[in-house]
Amino acid sequence: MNIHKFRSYLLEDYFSMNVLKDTIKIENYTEVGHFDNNKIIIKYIDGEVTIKGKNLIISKLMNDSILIKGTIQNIELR
Amino acid sequence: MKNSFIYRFKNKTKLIIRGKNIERFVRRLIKNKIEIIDLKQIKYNEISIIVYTKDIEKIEKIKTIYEIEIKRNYGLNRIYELIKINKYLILFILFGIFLIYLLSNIIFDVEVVHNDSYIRKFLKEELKKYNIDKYKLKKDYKTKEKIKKDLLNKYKDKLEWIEIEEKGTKYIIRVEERIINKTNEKNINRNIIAKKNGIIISIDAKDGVIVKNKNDYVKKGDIIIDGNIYLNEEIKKSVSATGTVYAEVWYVVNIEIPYHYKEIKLTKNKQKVYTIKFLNKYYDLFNMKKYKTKIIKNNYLIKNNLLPLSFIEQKQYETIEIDEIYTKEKVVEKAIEQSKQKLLKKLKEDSEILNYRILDEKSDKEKLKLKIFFSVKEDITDYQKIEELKTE
Repeated sequence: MNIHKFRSYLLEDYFSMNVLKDTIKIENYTEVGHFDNNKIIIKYIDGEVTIKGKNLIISKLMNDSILIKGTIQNIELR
Repeated sequence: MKNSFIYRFKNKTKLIIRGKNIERFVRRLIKNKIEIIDLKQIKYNEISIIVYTKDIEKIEKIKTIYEIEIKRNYGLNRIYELIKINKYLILFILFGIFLIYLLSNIIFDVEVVHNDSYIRKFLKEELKKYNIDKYKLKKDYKTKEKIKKDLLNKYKDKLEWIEIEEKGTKYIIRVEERIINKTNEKNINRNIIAKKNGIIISIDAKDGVIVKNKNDYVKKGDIIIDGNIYLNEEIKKSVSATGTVYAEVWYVVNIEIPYHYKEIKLTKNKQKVYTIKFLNKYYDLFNMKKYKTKIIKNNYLIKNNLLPLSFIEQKQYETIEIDEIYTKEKVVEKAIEQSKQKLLKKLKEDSEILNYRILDEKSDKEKLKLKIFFSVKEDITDYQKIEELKTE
């Protein structure tokens, strides 16, 4: 257990989401489920997050992180 | 962002994508797992994206109707591009730096400081053998020391001391000649003559005939003890005249002494300190005893002609500064004392000042100028070969 936590601490492989003004940064996602100007669905190991708003764009898309910009109206976690 | 330092050097490209329904293209990129480092919407049908350069091939395959324009590169590719564009500039800058370094390490002039032209010529020729000549490379400190030692050893009878000073791209060689005093050549017939003008005080003759008397005024070159022995106005014999003649010789000394006297005196304290010199500033290393005033002698251990940085072994001598304003009487006293010392330094050890008199005195706000007359008892013995006379 301790080794697992230590490994997790080093590799930073847990899902995280930072919500800032007109920006959401998500780390350690698995898939982009859906993407358009008004809705983006991001899947991760334990579920998915739905972001609703206006003029949404994926500003950065890396293997382990994604940056979404635009007017954010709603965030749903499932 | 993980590994952000390495990320900076990764090859990336900025692309401009144009076409209808641009979101479809972005979805295609996501579906094909192409990383997007940055995405900006320029117009409704135009976006700019930054992707890794290795993914451009993939993007070309999936672009279909969309227009792709490569705007610029980032990362190492960009650095190569810049070097390629500016290659001549970079080359010439490097060449310039190399040229400056080379030229500053070349000797452009060699000057030998000495009165005798023979010594100057001879030393210049000798230094050429050690490659100290115009348009040759400069030598380091160790090599210069070796050259000095070699020359002094080779010409023990000619050279007393030699110093090679480097001033920019010029080498200044200072030399002191060795003067060997000739021993008495008793076998050579000679007269004793006066070295200077003066009034004879005493004559001590061992060989030869005394032709002048005490209190006689003699001029330079006058015979005082004749080496020729005469009988009935004929030269019967010639000898090597031997003796010593003392005379009263006159000197006039001009001296200036300022009223404001400043002197720097050495104390007995000295120390060795290691210092770093950067531009014109010195930074002492581990110096616990800092002197308030000092004289320093620098020995450069590491010196670089390109960088203004050097490592020096410094010999520091502690000093005391004397700063006083004298009265006129004190200045006159000092002037007389200094003139006496100045005069005696130039004369032999057995010379003696008999009398002095101040001839002229001029004073302004800052200094006092004096003209002092001295009469000195001095050895004026000089020699003249008798053969020289016959040839005249």
